Amino acid sequence: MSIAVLSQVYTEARRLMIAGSVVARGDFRLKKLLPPLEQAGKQAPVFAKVAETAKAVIEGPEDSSAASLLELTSLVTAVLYTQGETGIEGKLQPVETTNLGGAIVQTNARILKPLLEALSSTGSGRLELVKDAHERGHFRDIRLIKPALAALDDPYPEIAELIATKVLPLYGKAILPELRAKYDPKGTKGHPRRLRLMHAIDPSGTRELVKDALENGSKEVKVAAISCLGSDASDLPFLVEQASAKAQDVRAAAYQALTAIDHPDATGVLQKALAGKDFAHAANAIESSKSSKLVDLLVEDIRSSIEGLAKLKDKKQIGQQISRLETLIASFPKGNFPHADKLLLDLFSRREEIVKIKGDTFSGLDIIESVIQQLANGSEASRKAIVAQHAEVPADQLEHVFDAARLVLTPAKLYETFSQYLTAKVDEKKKAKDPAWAKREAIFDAIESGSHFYFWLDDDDSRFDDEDRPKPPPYDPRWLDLAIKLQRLELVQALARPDHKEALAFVFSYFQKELKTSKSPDGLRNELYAMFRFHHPERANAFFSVLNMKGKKTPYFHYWFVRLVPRLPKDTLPKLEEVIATLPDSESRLWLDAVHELRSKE
Amino acid sequence: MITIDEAYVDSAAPNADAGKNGRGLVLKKKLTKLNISSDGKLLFGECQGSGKVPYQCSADFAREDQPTYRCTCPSRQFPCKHCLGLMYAFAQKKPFSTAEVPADLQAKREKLLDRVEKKKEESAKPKQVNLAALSKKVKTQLDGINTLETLTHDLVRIGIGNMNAKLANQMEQQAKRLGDVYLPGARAALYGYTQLFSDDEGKFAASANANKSERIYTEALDQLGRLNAIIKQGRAYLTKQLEDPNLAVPTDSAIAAWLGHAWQLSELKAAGLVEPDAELVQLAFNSHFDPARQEYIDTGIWITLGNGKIRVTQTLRPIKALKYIKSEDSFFAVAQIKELCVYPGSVNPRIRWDGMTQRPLEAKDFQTVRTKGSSDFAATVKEVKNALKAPLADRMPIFALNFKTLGKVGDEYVIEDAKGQRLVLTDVGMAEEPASCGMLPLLPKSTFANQTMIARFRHDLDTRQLRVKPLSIVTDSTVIRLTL
Repeated sequence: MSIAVLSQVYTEARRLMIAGSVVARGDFRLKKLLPPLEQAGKQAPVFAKVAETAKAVIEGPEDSSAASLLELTSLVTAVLYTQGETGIEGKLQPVETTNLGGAIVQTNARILKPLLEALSSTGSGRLELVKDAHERGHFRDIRLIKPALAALDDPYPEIAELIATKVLPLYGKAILPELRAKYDPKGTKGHPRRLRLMHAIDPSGTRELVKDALENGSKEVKVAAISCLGSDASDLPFLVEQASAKAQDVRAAAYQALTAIDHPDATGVLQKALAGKDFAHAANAIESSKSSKLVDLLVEDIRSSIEGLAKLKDKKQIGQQISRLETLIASFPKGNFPHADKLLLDLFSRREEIVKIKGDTFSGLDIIESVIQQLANGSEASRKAIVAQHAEVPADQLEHVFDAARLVLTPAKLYETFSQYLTAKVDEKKKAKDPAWAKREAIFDAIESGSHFYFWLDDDDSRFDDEDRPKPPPYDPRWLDLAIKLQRLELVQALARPDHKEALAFVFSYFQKELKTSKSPDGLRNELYAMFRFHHPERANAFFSVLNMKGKKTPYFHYWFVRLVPRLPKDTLPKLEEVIATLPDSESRLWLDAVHELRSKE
Repeated sequence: MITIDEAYVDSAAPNADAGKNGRGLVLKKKLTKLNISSDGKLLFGECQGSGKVPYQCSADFAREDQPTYRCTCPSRQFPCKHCLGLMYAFAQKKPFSTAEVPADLQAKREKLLDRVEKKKEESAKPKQVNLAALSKKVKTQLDGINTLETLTHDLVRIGIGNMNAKLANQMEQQAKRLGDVYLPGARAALYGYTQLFSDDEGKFAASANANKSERIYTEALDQLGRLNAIIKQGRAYLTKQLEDPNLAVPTDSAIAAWLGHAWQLSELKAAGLVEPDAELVQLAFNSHFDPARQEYIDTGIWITLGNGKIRVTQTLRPIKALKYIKSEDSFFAVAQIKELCVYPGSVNPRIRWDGMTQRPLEAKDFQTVRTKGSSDFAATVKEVKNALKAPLADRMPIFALNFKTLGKVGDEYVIEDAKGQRLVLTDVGMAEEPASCGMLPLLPKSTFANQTMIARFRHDLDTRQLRVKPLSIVTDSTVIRLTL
């Protein structure tokens, strides 16, 4: 069967359909195909039929040209539909797969559709939806890959960053072809993200793209490309050149990349930058590099600058230098850097001399505060060192030292060392003017803020996610006894332990007292939360008594109150429903999800 | 006894909001009376609305596979939030007291049972048809076919290359009257052509993008071919109908639907297009918005466990009626259907049903699905080509293919059967479902050998290649869905 002729007829018929059947009559190109068609028609009747229809187009009357041409096209198309090529030649290679681990998740359309909508539209409230979906593992449904890739260009940068840094790396190399296809080195917004992501997934494979971006990329892409450099020593000359570029972003990216190259030229550039106007960018680059060699650069610079400080006369200059020193001190990376620790401890021991230095807006005291904070947040050795000197620490830095002590002292030792600040004799009238008062409040704050009720409400341990900030051991039981003795509700609440009889009695009596005097439910928030944190047997009754005192105009009351509903005992459901039924529609809607959560509780 | 849980009520709700509102009513104690009939098959109660008189709502499980919801509220959602609330209350084990069914409700129940009985009887006896009126209608339709022919020939005379948004708009205005002559399907087919010249939102902008036209020539050619087929087959079909003394609708082809005949279940049943006691498994589900038609189209792709045929359900939800039509959802169980109605058509005809019950999917069901797949690609390709040559055929038929290996040749994904026959996978030209080939490298290694692929075929007229798009892969323990 001569399919080639048929294809030609199709091409000509298509041409005529595009041009319009008015010009079809007498078409010589179609006419030329008649003889081979008729020839083929002798063997296969379908060709004869095509020839006949084509003839009608060429020779038929003008007014039936449209019908004839349509007929011809339909006929040829129908035949061609039976001639589709399948298959492909070549060796069948296995598909390179990226193991996502775990079972394949298949979510139903009613859940996925709103998520797709969130990823592909604009408007508020989307970030939460995407975050929530990420946490619930919905992105393990591979059908979300494409929308997630497209969301790299989301106009809301927080969504695009979340997708680029948390969601898309899940899929690994499998998304590389798609990233590459969409990537435009001249682009902005999503394109730098694409380059960084490709580089993070496959550094060696992206090398050429990075080089090209440095040459031809837009400013944003160029900055991203520079941040991808540094793994190869041959990048050095280019990076050194970029470190003196006009654009600040480019210089900052160059410093970042240079920290990865161990070469005197790279170190020289960073050293120079530390001394100049780019000191913050250079320090920032050193901090994220965590290289002890570069940290030594910082140490040297700080040491010589402190010495130089004494020689300065101009207050303005002194102020500027102190501000710079604060930035440099704050840039010591977390981890073990003995030289840095030594410098910090040395500066702390010279505190009396340093605090005397006065600039126009900053003074030596600011340097010492930075030093204490660095020590308290630093290596174990530096934490131990500053904790040992807690008595020397000013009140407004004591909270940091207490936090450090929780990590390096045993719970018993912590109590023995720091409880004295709570029992010290203070002048309540002088308040912050009395250092003993200020130190007591600092310890109160440290304990209370570390276990604030909003962490408890959300079961949120995220502040301990950072490996540099490990979770401290529980408090010594004696703290709670002391808190009750001091009659300090917030402290008792923060130290809550359900089995403590005195504490239970204390929070209950406190609650009852406040219930009598408080005029609105908002005044009872701490008291009620305390009842719940202690899992007090009377907490449900307390809940309802607060609910009963709710007036008509309490618009913000629900937002903290309703959150307690899922923590009620399940047997209170009927009573709860009784009360909610009496609420106006606008309010009861707010209760819907909370009650549903309580009902679904095991 | 009624056995429903909250998940059942969730899925009965026409949309997520209606479900939430229903829950809200329970919480707000708006349901003032909760009753159950002594036979345990009817929930009924009262729900306080905004007016003085409470709404009387009920959920009747006399027909377990097809509950009846009644409410005196004016809502057009079915079931309304009051009926949903009633069912949530029952699922949450609120106290329902056994009570006598109110007389008017009982009357309605009896009426319904009567109606069902009557329907059964009626479906058994031949349908009364006003032959004179029907004959008039068919003649009008034939006139309409002539109009369609004139319009189509005009379009061919003008030529695809000379079409523009303005002309297309004018043509649509003229085509409107096809709806008045009972040919809405034919009109839609004509719109299928004119819409090629509109913008992405289905509007005819004055500055229609000229560069778009080059890409649409082939598609336009195909659409005109379809119109030609509708004209010819439609005329033949209507003439045949007119010649029949009973003027019965022929059921041997899908042409009736192409002209716009809205099949009723009773008609399908009367025509014998029914499969009894069918069990269906959903293989894929997708929902997409059609800007030209301004409606959402929910498509479910199902396989019948008994005969292995792959068929589709379609729910059309016009934007204007979005609130009142239940949005469909992915279905992960086995649907058990007493009477499965199948539309006339060739490869993957549309299916519908009145009521269903469900059971969980088991390992043996996956096995059954896999045995229904074709292990001989050459035979399937032949079948596909044979179907495609009919001008009104579904251009993208779906088949289950048992492949031995899924691999790559160059950049192309390929499946190969036991005899070494290959099919190339693609996403090109099948935009209703999101692209799926890109997901293959994320599947576990075990999915690349000896599995069953649910695939859509498409012949590309420009490249003359017949390729397939993967929709799902059925393994021995799951259906991995690749589209949505």
